[in-house]
Amino acid sequence: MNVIDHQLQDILARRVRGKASAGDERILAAALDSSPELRKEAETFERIFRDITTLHVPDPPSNMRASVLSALPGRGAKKYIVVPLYSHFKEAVMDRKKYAALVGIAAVAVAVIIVISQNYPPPAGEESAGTIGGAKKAEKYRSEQMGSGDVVLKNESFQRLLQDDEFQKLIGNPEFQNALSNAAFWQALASAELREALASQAVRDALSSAAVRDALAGQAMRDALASQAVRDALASSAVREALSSAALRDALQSSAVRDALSSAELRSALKNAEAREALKNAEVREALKNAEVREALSSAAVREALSSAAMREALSNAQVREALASAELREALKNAEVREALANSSVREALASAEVREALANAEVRSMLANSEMRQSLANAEVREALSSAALRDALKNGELQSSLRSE
Amino acid sequence: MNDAEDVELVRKCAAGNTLAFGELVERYTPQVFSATYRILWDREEAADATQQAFLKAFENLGSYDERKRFFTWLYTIAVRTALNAARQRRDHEELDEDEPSTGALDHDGLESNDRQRIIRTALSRLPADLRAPLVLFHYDDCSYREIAELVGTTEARVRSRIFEARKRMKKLLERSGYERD
Repeated sequence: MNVIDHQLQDILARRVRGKASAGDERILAAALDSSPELRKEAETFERIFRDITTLHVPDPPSNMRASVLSALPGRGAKKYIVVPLYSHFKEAVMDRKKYAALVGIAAVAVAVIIVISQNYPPPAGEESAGTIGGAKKAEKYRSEQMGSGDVVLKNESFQRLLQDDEFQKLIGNPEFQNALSNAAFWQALASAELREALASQAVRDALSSAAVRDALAGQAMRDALASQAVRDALASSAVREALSSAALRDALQSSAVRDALSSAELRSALKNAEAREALKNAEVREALKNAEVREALSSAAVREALSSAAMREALSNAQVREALASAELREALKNAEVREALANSSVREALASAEVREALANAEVRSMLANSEMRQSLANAEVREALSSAALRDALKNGELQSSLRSE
Repeated sequence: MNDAEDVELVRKCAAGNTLAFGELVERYTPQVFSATYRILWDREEAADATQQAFLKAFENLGSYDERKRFFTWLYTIAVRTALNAARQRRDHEELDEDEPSTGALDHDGLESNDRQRIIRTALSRLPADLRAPLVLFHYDDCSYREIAELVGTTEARVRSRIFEARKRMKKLLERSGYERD
């Protein structure tokens, strides 16, 4: 019985890659022409080879960087060999149900930390010129002693900060001191955006928050400092303003917020002006105080959803924000199917439509979302697909349909 | 990706800057994950192997030769890590001659997704030592010599393993409805 030998198989493989030479083709033709059976077998191998080269590979986990860094020797783990594998890391992360991760809050937390670090010790900028001047003078004229007049801090707000009791407590805090010994922390200090953030009163006010100090203990927070997206966010007035919100500071007390900072999706979301603007909104801030909302943010699906343009745009919409304030919607966010649905592009797209937003503003529709059958239906591909249909969206505006859905 | 940048990041890592290593992780996660996935064919296990590969790389940065491409070095670690994981898993099933065929569709009657699924299933049933060379040859376009270096064996052995893997794949696929005589 004829069989495709190794040499012919390799020629077929080269052919699939488009790398077969004229010599290859001649050898192949000569062999296959001699036997229809062999030709059929060759066709089979060629198909197999072609199919192998087109096999789909899924995207890698988005938080690989964080999981690797957290497992490095000397970074919370004794030896990488005993460190949990990625999958366990992920489970551990998902198990932290206290997560209250909100992109903005996380950014805010980071901003605050950075701001603190920017102020202490003082950067080598204008504010410290007097000290440097004094030092230079002392070097040049070794016989002279540096007097109090040599130390001139031109920036009054910075002086106030240094004299502030809370700030003094902060720099005496072991966790804060620990943060100062971290490389990421100091790398962040080199950022112009962070320095600029220091000029903000809101940022300074945030320094007095105990939550901010606690946040300093988190590795994720430090890692976040290295993210350009987080730094850019700090340069945004919306984010700074958000810093003055008690709700946001409160959220910092949750480890979820800190860990959320290690999420690439959240950082990506921070790059977007709409997401930053959303932080200025009272409903959004209030929503962040809610346990269900925070827990939802611990979901990878929800984080992923936040990185989509459609979701961010939806958040900038008043009706969607208002919906976030409703108990029904928050309750719905606790549900895995609802969260998964948010990761679906059809559902996101639907949220970007005026009709669906309008529907969300309706109490009956929200109530409908609290229904378990309705949630399960969101897990259905056809239902999701249907949401991308203009006709269905239009139908959702209809009061009778809303009522009937509720009664179902 | 810039090799000089990689070397610079490696030097920073050696100087204790773990963030620089984070940069390397971010840069090469897609390629490393893709390599481990194509040997393990399981997302979770591939993620584990990817993490392990990076951690091994970090621990062995001192043995990295700057004259060579960092990615090639890292890729070798990733392939070997995934291969070891696959060997330990022992999830492959030897070809069961009595197993009935699951379908009667010919190749043209199968949708692309069906073919993908069948091929993936067949691949995952091959022993790791056959699967890895096969995938490296056909998917990654590696030469026999490169595969031999990656998996730490001889070219002759790679050649015979690939031949054996193809034969088994064909047999598995014929009985799965992928191809029918």
